[in-house]
Amino acid sequence: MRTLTRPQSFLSDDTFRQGYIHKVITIDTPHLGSPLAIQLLSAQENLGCLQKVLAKEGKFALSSASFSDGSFFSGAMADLQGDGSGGSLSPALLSIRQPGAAHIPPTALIAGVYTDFSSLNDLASYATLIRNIPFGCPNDPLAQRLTPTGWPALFNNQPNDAIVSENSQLDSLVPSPGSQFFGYKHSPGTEKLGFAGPSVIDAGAVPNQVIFLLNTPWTNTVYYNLLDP
Amino acid sequence: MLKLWKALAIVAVLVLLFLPTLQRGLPKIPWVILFMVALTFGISLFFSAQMPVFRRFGIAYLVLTGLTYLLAGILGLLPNGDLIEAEMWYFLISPYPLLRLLTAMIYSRPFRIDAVPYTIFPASGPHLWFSITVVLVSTILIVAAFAMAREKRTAYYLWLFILALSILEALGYVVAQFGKWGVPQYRGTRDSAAIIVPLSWAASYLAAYVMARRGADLGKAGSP
Repeated sequence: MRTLTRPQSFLSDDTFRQGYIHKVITIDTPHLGSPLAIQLLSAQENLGCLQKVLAKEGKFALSSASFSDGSFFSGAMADLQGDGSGGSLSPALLSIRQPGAAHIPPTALIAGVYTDFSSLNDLASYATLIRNIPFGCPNDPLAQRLTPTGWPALFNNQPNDAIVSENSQLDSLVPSPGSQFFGYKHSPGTEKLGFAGPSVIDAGAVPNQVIFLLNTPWTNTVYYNLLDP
Repeated sequence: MLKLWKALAIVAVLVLLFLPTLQRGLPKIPWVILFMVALTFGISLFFSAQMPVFRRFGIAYLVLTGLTYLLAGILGLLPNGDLIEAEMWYFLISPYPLLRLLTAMIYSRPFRIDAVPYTIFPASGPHLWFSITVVLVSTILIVAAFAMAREKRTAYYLWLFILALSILEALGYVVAQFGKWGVPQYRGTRDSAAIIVPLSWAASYLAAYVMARRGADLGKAGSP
């Protein structure tokens, strides 16, 4: 959502050069990337067991795509690379962070913080199955980190939603009141890796906060940030 | 008493197989073979010692086969179990290559084998009915395998039918691979594993059936 480019038509006089988007609410967005993307695309994971397990279910870890007509596009997971604190950012994230490179409307940030990492060690957890034969990858470094201590270490033991660090979700800004949701994971899809509990897109507290933010004027600087005016 | 010791030995082997050292040290195929041998041996303990050993092992292997497919079916019914479910189907005989071929032969005009989308497991879209069917069929097959021990003729016919179907499905992989329908999911077009795995399973099911059939008296009174 942060990638709001500035074509001439977007900031036309029709909108008093403000664009058509009034305000933006990001939910668990990797503004500063995710170390998980770096790990999953690393050389040690390339065509490794975990990548194959994911691919068999149609979840491909891509960094680029080549088409039969010769065209080539980089992106996908490669765009999400970043250590979560502003370092090792992908070219895509770097480019939109250049001053003036993008028009970002007033933005409110919502962050989920996952807490139930101990469930990754449950005997019947999908994480346990992914770590072990016969279904999983006992020699895959990233798969072996699906443990209560290994996974948080991916994020330097900083708060995270199992996919993105909280610092990245908040773009290194101070969290506004009610913007942190403890016990929430990134998405329902993370359950396939063994993460339990509610996700930020489930009905309940997070959608209620979104409704609250939609009804809050963008001029309220407690909730809205002008990331790149 | 001897059966108890054998059962305990099986449990010990299974525990050993799940130790991290063996998990990481043993390649997947030997691990799976050891695992299956242990389970087959364990299941065979349920059957009478008066039954010939090869027949006991043949039936036990067929029970294990049914249990394997039952697990794949159950995973398809569990919320978010599809990652593991997909992994399982890549190491079993999936009916999808054959189903895709048959569907294309019936509905596609003109039929072009290279245009048939080759799928081992449906990566997207609902497959609830597929999982329900797998659970039902595999449950029936497990019951049938136990009925084989009682020399029930229907059970043998049922397994023979499924065996023929599994060979047909395994051949579906071969057609898919050599027919160049396209790239199998995440496997190169010349990846022989995509053919070897289902053919090996089909051959093992056939061998187990022959072992289970040998010496069985299907003409006995009470056999339906």
